[in-house]
Amino acid sequence: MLQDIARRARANPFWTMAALLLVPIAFGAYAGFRVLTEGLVVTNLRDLAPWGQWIVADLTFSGLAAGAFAFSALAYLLRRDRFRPMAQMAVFIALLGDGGAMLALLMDIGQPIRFWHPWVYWQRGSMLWLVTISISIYFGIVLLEVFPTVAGLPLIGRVLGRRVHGALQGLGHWLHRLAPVFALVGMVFYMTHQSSLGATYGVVAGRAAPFHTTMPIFFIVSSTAAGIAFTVMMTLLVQWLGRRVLVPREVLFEAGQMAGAILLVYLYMRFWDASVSAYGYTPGLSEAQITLTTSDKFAIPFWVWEMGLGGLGAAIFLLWARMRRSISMLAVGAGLAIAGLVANRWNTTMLAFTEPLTDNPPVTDPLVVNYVPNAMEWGVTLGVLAALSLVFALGMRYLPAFKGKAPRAAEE
Amino acid sequence: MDFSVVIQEVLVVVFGVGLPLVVLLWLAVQMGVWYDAHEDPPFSELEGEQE
Repeated sequence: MLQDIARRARANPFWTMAALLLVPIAFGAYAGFRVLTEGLVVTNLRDLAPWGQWIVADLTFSGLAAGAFAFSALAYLLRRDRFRPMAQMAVFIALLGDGGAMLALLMDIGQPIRFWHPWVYWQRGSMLWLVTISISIYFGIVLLEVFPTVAGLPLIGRVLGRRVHGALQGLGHWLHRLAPVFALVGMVFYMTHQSSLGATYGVVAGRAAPFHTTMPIFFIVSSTAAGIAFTVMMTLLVQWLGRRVLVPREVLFEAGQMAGAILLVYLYMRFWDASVSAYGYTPGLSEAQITLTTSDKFAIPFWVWEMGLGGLGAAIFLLWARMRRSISMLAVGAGLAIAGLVANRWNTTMLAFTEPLTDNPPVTDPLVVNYVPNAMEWGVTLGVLAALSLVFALGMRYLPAFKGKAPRAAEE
Repeated sequence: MDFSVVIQEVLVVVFGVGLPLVVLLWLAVQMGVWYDAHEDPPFSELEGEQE
């Protein structure tokens, strides 16, 4: 019996993977149901730790999506035709990333039934209002950009009939011609989205920890580098697992080099920002710098992942990969850059919402909030991640745009 | 010396740094082997695929 299952799994690796992904999706659906029916009380989110793992997931998904979108927009705006195959992959990733970010947010906002309020009741002084409006417009643009790719799905013709399918494809071709306009408008809103997310941390009342006027620009630059690296990594994986070629490797090396260069610019900016911050004493901020760089909870993710491996290490591998023409180096660099972004978003959120403003107990009591995400939070995060992976895998398998070509055996 | 703190830090380094690095390196080497054994088709073929 077990041998038979193992044999069938080996014969159908794709569907085995899809079936395995259904486990975390089911757990995520259960956790999501509990959160929606019982409220945030089933999580470890409290008044003293109001933003937790879901916000980290939201920032990571939307950050990677934003960088992917930036790459595709640049390909259209700079008329880099050789980037087109990768740009199409990048837009698909952007759609899924933003979809995942919005799913995580829907769980987190506490009043999910009022998700539409920011569209109607404009709070122009609120950073989160700007976040909502930006992601709404930007997500709409990404949907329009992906439409021509999805319209080519043969399944649509079988379900809706050839005439409707033809009309949808015609609409898709028409929308494709507007791609440069979408790219331009999308670039504006991807930047306002990332910058308002970064700026949100600068205006959290009573929590001066991550207050930097440079936060908005840090969010834009780091997401651009990691998002391009993520698109490179996903393309490498799809080609390797599917034994096909979608994007020429020279384009992947070039994109990796772009990500590495942007990462170096980001590190340079952070170095000067840290130097300026250390020049004088700023209540809250100065203590937070010490916490970030020395405390057990933050020092490893900060020095190892954010700055070391995920920062400088990733940049070196990404830049070096093209010179050595090494796919292994490219994959290592891309993976490290993604990990660096996750560590950065985790540190930023935890510093802002679980660390006290001062170490004076009468001012801030309790001194430190020990936030650890519980099973419901893990359930939703893993469920969203698994659902995104499943949709991505199905898209790569069935959408004609990602069919690719068989590679040739290398000559000795 | 508080051994629980030491153990906690060792676990963080092993599972938070070591394990992800080993997985990433293994994946990168596996991909590298396959890519080195193959060549891309001409760009014109790939471009045509996207239209």
